[in-house]
Amino acid sequence: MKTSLATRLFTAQVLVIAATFGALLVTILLVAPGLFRHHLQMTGEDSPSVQEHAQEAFETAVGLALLTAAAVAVLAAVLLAWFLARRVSRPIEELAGAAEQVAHGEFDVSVPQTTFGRELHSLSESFQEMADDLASTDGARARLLSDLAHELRTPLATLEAHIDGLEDGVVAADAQGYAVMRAQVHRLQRLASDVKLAAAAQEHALDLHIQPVEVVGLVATACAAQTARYRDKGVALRNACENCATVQVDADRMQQVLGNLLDNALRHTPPGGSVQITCRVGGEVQIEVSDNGEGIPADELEAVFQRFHRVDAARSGGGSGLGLTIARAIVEDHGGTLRASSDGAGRGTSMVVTLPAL
Amino acid sequence: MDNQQVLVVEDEVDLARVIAGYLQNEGFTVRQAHTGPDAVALAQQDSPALIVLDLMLPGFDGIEVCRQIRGFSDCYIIMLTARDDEIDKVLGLSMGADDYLVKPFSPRELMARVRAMLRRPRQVGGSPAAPHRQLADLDVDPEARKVWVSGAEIDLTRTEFDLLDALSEQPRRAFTRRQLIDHVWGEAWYGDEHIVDVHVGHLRKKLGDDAGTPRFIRTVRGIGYGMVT
Repeated sequence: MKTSLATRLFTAQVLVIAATFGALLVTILLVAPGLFRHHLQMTGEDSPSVQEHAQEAFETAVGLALLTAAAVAVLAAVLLAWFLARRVSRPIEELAGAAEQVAHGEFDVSVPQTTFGRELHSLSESFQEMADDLASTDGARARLLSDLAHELRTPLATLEAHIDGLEDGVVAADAQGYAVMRAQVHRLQRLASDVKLAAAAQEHALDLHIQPVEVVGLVATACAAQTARYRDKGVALRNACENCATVQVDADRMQQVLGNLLDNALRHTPPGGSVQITCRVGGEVQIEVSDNGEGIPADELEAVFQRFHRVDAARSGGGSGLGLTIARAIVEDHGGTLRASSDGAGRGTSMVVTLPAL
Repeated sequence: MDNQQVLVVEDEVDLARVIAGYLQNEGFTVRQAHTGPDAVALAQQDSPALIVLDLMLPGFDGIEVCRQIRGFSDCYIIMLTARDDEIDKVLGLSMGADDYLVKPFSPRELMARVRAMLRRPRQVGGSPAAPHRQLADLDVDPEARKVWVSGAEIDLTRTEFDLLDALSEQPRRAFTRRQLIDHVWGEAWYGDEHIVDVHVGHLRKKLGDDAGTPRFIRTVRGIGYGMVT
C-alpha cells in the first residue's frame, strides 16, 4: 500500500518544523548564553545573585517562548497539512475514481470541477472533456452497429427467403428469380462500400487530391452522368450553371457529391417533375440542386444528413441511407458546407453546396 | 385448413412475393399489401385468419397497423422486424402481435409458426367439450372462448385467451415459460421466452390483476406462472 498524499504532505510539514526547531535550539544553546553573559558583564553588574536571577530569567523566557512557538507551529502545521491534503487529494481521488470507471468502459462520468489550483482545475476540465468525447464516440459506434445490422437484415431476409424458395420450388429458377437475388447482393455491396466511405469521410481520413477545378465543367460532367436515368424516369434535368468560378477541390470526390445530390433529387421527384442545378459566386461559391418533388418537413432538414435517416420510416427508392451523410462529410472535408432547405412536404427540396472561393 | 385467408404486409415486394408463394403452397388464400393504409383496408375487407406484418412500412408503421386492426379483429398477427432490439416495443406497444420473427428468417420457420397458430383453436375446440371453469371471480368458457371477471365479459386476443386457457385448465400447476410456449405457440417454437411475460402482462392488465397482489395469475419465482388458488 503506497503512502497517501495527505500523509506525505503532513510529514513534509513536520520535517520543516523539526529542522527549524533544531536550528533554533542549536543557536540558543551554543550562542545565546555566551552572548547574554557577555552583555551582562558589559553592564558592570557583578553581584552573583543578580547575575544568577538574570540568567534564570533569560533561560525561562527563552524556554517558554520556544515551547509556545513549538506548540503553535505544530498546531498550524497540522491544520494546514490537513487543509491542503484535503483540498489537493479529494479532487485527485475523484479523478482517480473517474479514470478507473473510464478504464472499465463506463464513459458516463462526471468529474467535479475543482477551483483549487490552476493545474488541478485544467486537469479535471480536460478529463471531463475526454470522458464526454469517449462517451459520444462510444454511443455513436453502438448506434452505427445497430443501424448497420438493421440495414443488412432486409436484403438478407429477401435473399434467404429466395434461396429457401428455390430449394422448396416456391421460387422459379429463372431469370427473374436470379435478378431479384442479384439486386439484393448489389444492395449489400453498395452498403459495404458506402459504410467504408462514410467512416473515412467523417473521420477526415479521405485522401483528397486538391487541384483547381472549373465549377461549370464539374456540373456538366455530373449532369451528363445522370441524363439517362433522368430520362428513364421522366424527370427533367436542367443545367443552368454557366460562368462560374474555379474552386480548389478533389474533382472525383466533388463529382461524387453532385452525383449523390442529383441521385437523391431524382429519387424524391415523381415522373413529370423537374430538377435544376444552378451556381452563384459571391464571397463563396454556391452550387444548388433544387427539385419540385416530395420535399422535407422543416423539423427533418438536418436529420436527413444523419446516417440511415429516411423521411419516411420505410425505405423509399433504394438509397443506402448514407448518400447525404457522405456528401456532407466530403464537402466539409473541403472546408465547405452542405445544407438542405424545403418549403415542406410536397413542395420540393433544395440542396446547397457552399465552397470557399479561390 | 383450406381456404383460410392470410394477409401478407411487407413493403419489400420481392420478399412479400416469396412469403405469399409459401403460404399458397400451404393451401391458404393470400392477399398482399405493401403500405400501412392498404394493410388496414384489406384486413377490414377480407377479415383474414392471420396477418404477417412487417414493422417498417410506408404510410404508417406496423405498430400503428396492429393497433388499428385490433380495433375490429382478433386475428393472429405475426410481426416481422429487422431490429432485434425492438422486440419488446413490437410486442409491448402494439398490444396485440401474437408472435414475431427477426429478419433474416427462413420462410420455413415462418410456415411452422403459421401452422402452429392456426392449429391452436382446433386443439381446444376439438377435445370433447372442455368444461366451464370458475376460479374465484374469474369465469372461463373454453368452448365459447369467453372470459368474465365478476360477471363482466373481458375482450382477450387469441394468444391471451390461449394462455389463460392453459393456466386455468390445471389451476394448481406451476407452469414454466417453456411449458406455456409449448401449449400456446407450439413445441417447434424457439426464441426469447420473454414473449410469455409480455403476454401475461397484457392479460393481467385486461383482467385488472396486479403482479404484486395477484387475484388470478401469480408469478412463480424462478419457474414461471400459475393460477391463484
